[in-house]
Amino acid sequence: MPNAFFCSFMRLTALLTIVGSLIVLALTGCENCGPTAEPLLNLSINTGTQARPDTIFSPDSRNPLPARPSPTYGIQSGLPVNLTADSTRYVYRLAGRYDTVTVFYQRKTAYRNRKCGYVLDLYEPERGPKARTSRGKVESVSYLPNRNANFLSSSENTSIYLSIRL
Amino acid sequence: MRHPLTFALVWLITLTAFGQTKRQSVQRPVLIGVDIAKPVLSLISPYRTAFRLGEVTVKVPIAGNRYLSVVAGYGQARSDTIYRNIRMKLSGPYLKIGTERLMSSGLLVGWHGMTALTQETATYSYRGPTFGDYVVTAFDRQRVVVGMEGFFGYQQTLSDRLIFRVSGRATVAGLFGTRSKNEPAVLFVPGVGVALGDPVAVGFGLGLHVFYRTNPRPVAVSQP
Repeated sequence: MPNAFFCSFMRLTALLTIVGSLIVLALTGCENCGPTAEPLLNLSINTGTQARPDTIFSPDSRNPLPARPSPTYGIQSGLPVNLTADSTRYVYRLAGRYDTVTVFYQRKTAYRNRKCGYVLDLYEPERGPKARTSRGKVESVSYLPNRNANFLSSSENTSIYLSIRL
Repeated sequence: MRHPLTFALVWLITLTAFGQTKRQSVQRPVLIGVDIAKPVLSLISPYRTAFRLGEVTVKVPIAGNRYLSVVAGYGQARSDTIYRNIRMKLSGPYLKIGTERLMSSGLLVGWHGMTALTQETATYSYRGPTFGDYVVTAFDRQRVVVGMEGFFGYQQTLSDRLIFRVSGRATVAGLFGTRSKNEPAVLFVPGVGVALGDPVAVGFGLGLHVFYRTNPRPVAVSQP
């Protein structure tokens, strides 16, 4: 009888150990460490028509902006954010006219662990505007920081959403 | 960092001179050695790390079969990118003083108290293909290291002047200085080697020494 109890106890212990290890592995494997390079801005230009910008570039960049997917619903996604400054300017051409939109942010980094090293977050600036546009008005600016690894999906990442209406 | 090393070397030379005087009475040589395993470590690179190490050891005979053991060296480790986006550079001189007991079989055992200065610099970076890389200094600090180590080994006479020794050591050291808990732990400590733990670091090492005897080994002469 004591042997049967001991065997059951050992089996239960082994089972709990295996399940616990799998949970730890799953949790650490899911950790999203955030970007290793320039985070991205999603820019939405609402014109009220079908008109879309045909050119977009940054006067601050050393290299041309990377190729991006075609704008969906007027959203220019995948615009890199300048990490060497607290703001980034983008110039776009719409119906032959050039306009500038500037987004402001503050960069914050913190050491998390050996897997992630230092993680980067973008927050709204402590003072001053969040964004500025040479035409129309800024509708909204959203900052998505990855503080405390709250992004569990690898498709989510530290980014900024900026919407302007012309 | 060169000045402490120069100081240590001058001190070693002084000790050697002291040993030469004592030798007259105890009839045992002073041993001066270098660790030939240290340059080999430069080729082996855990964490994709490059090491630069140099170490000089002097053994001065004291009472019985014991030696005063003095070790001075300089260590530097420079990592490639580790922990996703961090690069570290760790360097500094170290000094170890202790005693060792040499048995007639060639086995030896001993201990060292140790101290070191360590300069720790780390940067982290994010790639910036469009606007340029974002590189930040995480920390640039100096700390004092105080610790102790035990070692054991075996030595074999190669010739009248040369002795080969293989030894292993375990070192425990405390790092004293400012370190935020939100900073990565130290990777390498001069005198300890690749270290586990911070601010109490533990390291293990293997030494391959070649020693030079300051007077040749006596040769037996048959009596007529």
